[in-house]
Amino acid sequence: MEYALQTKDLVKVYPGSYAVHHVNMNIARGDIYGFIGKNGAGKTTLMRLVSGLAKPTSGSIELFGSTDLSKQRKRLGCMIENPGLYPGMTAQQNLEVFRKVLGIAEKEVVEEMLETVGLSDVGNKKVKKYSLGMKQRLGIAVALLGHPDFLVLDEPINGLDPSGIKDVRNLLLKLCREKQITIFLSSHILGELSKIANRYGIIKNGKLIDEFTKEELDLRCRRCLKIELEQMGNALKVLETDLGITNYDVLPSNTLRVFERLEDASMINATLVRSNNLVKSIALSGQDLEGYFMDMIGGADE
Amino acid sequence: MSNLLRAEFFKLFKSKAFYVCCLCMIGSSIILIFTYKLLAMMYTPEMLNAMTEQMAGSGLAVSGTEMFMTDYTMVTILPLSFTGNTFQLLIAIFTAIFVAGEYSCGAMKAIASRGYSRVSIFASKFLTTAIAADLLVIVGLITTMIFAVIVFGFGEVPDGFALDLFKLLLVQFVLNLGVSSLFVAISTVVRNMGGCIAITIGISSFLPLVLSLADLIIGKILPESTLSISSYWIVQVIAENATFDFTSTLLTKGLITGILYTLFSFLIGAVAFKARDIN
Ligand SMILES: Nc1ncnc2c1ncn2[C@@H]1O[C@H](COP(=O)(O)OP(=O)(O)OP(=O)(O)O)[C@@H](O)[C@H]1O
Ligand SMILES: [Mg+2]
Repeated sequence: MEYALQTKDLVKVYPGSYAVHHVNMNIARGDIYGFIGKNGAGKTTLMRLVSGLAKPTSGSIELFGSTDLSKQRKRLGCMIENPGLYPGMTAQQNLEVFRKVLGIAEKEVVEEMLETVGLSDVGNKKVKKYSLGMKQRLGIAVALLGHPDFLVLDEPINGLDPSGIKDVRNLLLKLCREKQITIFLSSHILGELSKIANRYGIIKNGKLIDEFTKEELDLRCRRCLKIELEQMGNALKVLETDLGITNYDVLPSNTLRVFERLEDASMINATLVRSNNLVKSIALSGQDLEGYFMDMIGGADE
Repeated sequence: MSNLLRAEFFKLFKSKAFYVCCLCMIGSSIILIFTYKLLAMMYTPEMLNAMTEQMAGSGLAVSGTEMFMTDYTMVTILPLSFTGNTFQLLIAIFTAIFVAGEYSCGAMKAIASRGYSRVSIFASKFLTTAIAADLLVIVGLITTMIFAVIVFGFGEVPDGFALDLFKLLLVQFVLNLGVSSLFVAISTVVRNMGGCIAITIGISSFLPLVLSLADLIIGKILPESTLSISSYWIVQVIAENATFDFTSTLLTKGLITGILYTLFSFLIGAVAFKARDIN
């Protein structure tokens, strides 16, 4: 497997505390990696180590399989902690600065980026007059300049309104799908994170205590489609032969729990109904990322 | 590196602080000319010299007694515009805003995470600030020249004026480069705009005192020594070199002081920038 990021025994010590404690993290290319942890767990610190803003106390970092970090970091786009912007300049001028920093010849990228993050009509407004969410969007635009292969975003949806969150989600998913960009993002909004990420890492007191895929999460949380039928009929046969679903169980009172193809609720519904198995209700149920996270770290500290 | 420089210059010419400092430069240069005009109108040279002696008697240091003359022309005033520390103060304030401000707003993070070496980031900042500082000096000089010609006339051009002018500009540019370097280093270490400006004010008001004290102590401990630390304080050297009567020792001391301040500041700033995390 090709990795965008691998850390080996990464440690960052601040006077009196381990902010990052022997972390071995692997992010495969094309992953959207959701990074979760309580306040002060070490998310930002780890991202600062990856982007070169802070130096590790010990341990090593590989980007795209190489240890020549300053070369590989040219393929990074970062927004860490807060969007680093020049308040006295307009959004256009801010992007212009970073266009020059990156040596991008095409001047059009500035307008393109503003368009991408939905700031076209306020592009010539000074950044100090921007709202929190507008700054956040501009910060994302800066990170996206230069078509990075690897995005490191620390709480990118912090301060965005619901439509902004949706825009960013769609943008990230699109970037990942169309350009195979690897994304490493942290967020406290776990419901949102679980709509984007396909892999997760949980950090607690600087230690990476768990890493799992979306599928593993679904398994662990026993996320399932709960299907309530009028009567059993030949529903099980339809499930197995027509839909190829084998991972399910049967509950009393004509209820099925399906543990696979969770995104295909409407298709399963239609297939069952077509074969005269009337569906009373069909719904996703089970623990979500938030519940799982609380179980993992919410309890008493050791 | 050339990309970084291009970005730095873009920022420089979009920075309000730079234009405000230019305006201050113009303003203070004009005020200086009119102060001289007022002096020339109210006092005769005899009166001024008497006053100077009194001031010297009271222990107040006055750099360059030739400050007090009344036959002002553009030619005689030009070197005087380097005395006083308006130039240095404006350079210091501009540097604090331009360099330390970058840390305050977090933009340094966005640049430093793009794979540029720390040294090249620091060097581009250093170079841009140095050029900005000399641009500020040029603005001050041109204003002084224009207003001096208007108020006092051009004046008689002495022999060897061109060469003297060249020496003056050379040594002053090098010394002001030293000043800007010093403050880039301070801004890089302190990384906080308010703190930098406070230190600047502290340096310009207390450091000369501290250095004089050091001289006194050295004199006490080593009575034979002629070493005077305060005479190497860059603002002092700038004032000494604000003249057309260059001796080669004076000129050499000026150039070497400027170059040493520049090199040392670059070294300290680069090391501090490389060693520390960026928040
Ligand atoms: N510059 C610093 N100096 C000293 N300690 C620091 C520094 N930066 C972070 N820390 C400490 O390191 C630990 C991890 O901080 P970090 O900012 O990485 O947490 P985080 O997971 O990003 O938290 P949040 O969710 O609040 O953003 C904290 O205990 C913090 O106090
Ligand atoms: Mg954080």
